[in-house]
Amino acid sequence: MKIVACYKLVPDENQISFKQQGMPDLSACEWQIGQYDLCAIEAVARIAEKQDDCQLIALTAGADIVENSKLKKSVLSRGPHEMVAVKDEKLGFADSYAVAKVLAEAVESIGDVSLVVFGEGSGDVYAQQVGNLTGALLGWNTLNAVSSLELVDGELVVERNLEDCTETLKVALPAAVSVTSNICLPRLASMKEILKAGKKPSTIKALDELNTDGVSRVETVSLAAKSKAQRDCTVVAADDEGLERLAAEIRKMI
Amino acid sequence: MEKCKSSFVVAAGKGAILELAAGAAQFAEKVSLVALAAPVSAQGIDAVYTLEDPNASVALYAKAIVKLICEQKPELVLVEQSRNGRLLAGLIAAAFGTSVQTDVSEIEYDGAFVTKRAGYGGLAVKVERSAETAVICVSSGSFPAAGEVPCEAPVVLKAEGEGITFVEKKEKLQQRTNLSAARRVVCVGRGIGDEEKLALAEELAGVIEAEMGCTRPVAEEDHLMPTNRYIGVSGVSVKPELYVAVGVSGQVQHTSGVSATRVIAINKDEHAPIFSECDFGVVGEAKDVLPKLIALLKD
Ligand SMILES: Cc1cc2nc3c(=O)[nH]c(=O)nc-3n(C[C@H](O)[C@H](O)[C@H](O)COP(=O)(O)OP(=O)(O)OC[C@H]3O[C@@H](n4cnc5c(N)ncnc54)[C@H](O)[C@@H]3O)c2cc1C
Repeated sequence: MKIVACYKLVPDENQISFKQQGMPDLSACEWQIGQYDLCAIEAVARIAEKQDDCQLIALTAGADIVENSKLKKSVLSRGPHEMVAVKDEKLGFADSYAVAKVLAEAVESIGDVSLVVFGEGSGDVYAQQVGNLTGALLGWNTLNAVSSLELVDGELVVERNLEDCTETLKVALPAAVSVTSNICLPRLASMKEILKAGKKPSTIKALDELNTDGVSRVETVSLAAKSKAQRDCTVVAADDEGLERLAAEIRKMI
Repeated sequence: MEKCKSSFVVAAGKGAILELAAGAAQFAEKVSLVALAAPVSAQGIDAVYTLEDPNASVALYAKAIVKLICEQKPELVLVEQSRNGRLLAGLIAAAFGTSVQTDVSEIEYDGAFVTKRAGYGGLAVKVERSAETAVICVSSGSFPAAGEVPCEAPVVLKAEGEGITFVEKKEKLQQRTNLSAARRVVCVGRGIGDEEKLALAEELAGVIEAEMGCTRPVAEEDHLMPTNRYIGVSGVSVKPELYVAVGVSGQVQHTSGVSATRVIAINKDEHAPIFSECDFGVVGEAKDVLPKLIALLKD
């Protein structure tokens, strides 16, 4: 069977600066795999390892960064057998719908996929919608908030972690599920896996190889720095004097 | 104010239904409601739909709900920002060929729905503009609640499709918290490490009459605190007079949920980002600082 794990490459938010026109400047940022996407990759890597004859494919869509070889190796060292990336400048700031449409088309073009998984939400936008939209566009059984995922007799058994309850469901394949950030802890790839990753196949597709335009439906009017509260930032050592001052600071407020 | 013709509200909780009903009525001439749990209705609602078995999973009704809303072609769909709400919002938006505007705290209408949300973990504010149909997940507290009215003659929706089978549901026993309204908060981060140091932080909270909060990994990875106590962009927003952070590094996803009058930080790393986000900070080990601080405050 084929399983696809989707992931998004996101900038380190500590390195983002903002341009005058109200859009962020990401040129100086280091990029990483979305923190919660790593949990999704791990969850299905564990399923794939238990399954005979299971092909695990990592899939992403984005701008030029998707070709970054260090990031490609990083994803491939975590269990996937191959990776597919759809590359287009538009996809860097596209809305969830545009990205979902691209991912759904890419899944169709891979062909014969039984399960697509997503992280809970991306590290930068965190709208938690790409999984839901992709599943809906594929016309597959679609669920989010999945906190446990098992493949039993060709069917998924999932637990969903909701605000006031947990529920258990059986889901027929093909299915698209978004998993929670605490479904499992992502592995630390070994040196051996990182070396092996360099030899695994990776494919970069252009948007025009797929049947979609990558155009957002919801327009981003602006994305500007939020103003921050001014703080005193007095920092002291934890000696007797420092602790006295700390206690005084707290007493002032009660 | 200019209004659109019709809207839907999709929500489970009574609080959310009353707030979203008021919100939808501001923007639309007609408001229909899909009540996902108990049958509740609100002033301003013109039609109510309920689920045949609200004790089963909402996921079983997703197809029926999407079909209903698509048939009526509303310009606006306001959805409760819960996990089920997010799922339904995505499925509804896909059917309309658009995206979802999520985590929205402010909405304006000028022929399209213009919304505000956080971006990059709270570092930025993102303003978005809807396509023809707006599907919006609204943060709680964004609208004043409408009055409750009895839910009369709702139309009952039936589960559709075979792909998903309901097995069981377990209620969670979670204490309700008062965190978002608390005047003082002691927040623990991963630096708190273990139960023993957590007990010290709890003692401090007792002495200064503060509510306890935590960072997301303390709840989700270390399981030291319940998940309804984590503060931040994806958790609870707090606005206390005093916020004391112990062993919190101060990542933007956390601090963007804190708008406190005074921020105090205790952290062993002098380079921790929290020290540039605080009013007063002490560089030190939690297990040394907390007992001494508690003793001084008790004096
Ligand atoms: C999409 C997304 C959403 C997120 N949403 C949230 C959110 O809503 N809320 C949230 O909190 N996080 C959220 N996060 C996670 C966030 O990015 C940080 O990882 C998290 O806030 C860090 O928690 P922490 O400060 O407890 O842990 P760490 O970053 O590990 O920091 C621990 C700190 O404790 C200090 N320390 C260690 N030992 C001691 C000691 N003995 N005494 C004193 N200090 C000590 C260390 O110096 C360090 O600064 C989100 C992340 C993503 C990607």
